[in-house]
Amino acid sequence: MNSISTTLLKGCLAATLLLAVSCTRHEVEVKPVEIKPIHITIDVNVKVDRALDDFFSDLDDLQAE
Amino acid sequence: MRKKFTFLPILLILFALAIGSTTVLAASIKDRMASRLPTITALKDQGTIGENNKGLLEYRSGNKPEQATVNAENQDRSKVYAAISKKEGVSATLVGERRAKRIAEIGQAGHWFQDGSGKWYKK
Repeated sequence: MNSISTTLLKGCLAATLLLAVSCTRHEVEVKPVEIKPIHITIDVNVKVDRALDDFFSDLDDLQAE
Repeated sequence: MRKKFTFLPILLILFALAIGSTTVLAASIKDRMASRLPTITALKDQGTIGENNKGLLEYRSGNKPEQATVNAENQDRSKVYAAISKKEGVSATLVGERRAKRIAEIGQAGHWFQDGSGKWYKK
């Protein structure tokens, strides 16, 4: 009886230790997406250049002749 | 229900007129610019005018022939820059500066251009 309780106690201790060891923490850090101003500037310039080309391309071709 | 059907054609006509008038306005500016091209090219060839860094024509000396033509060209260019700036949500100054860069790229050798720092150079 005594040996059974000792065995149980040992078993409980072993289980506790195993649980403590196997417990892991997983942290996922979510960083906010940073949009750099330089990208915005380039995008704006591209859009403006395209709009300018749409209007002036005929005149530029005429001048090149 | 009937009112909706009455307003729909009116709205469509107004929309068509708005689109049409914008196109006509753009076309008329383009036509005017095309008609001024020989005079402006001649003035550039003489070195009398150059392309500044704001996308506009500028006299390079006190002598100012064909001033009405040059002023009209700058006014039309400013209108185009303003329209594009409104459409793209940027300043008209930026549009003019972008155009100036393009003009300098495609410009003819022997003509005068102003760089970003304000310095004039002959291509």
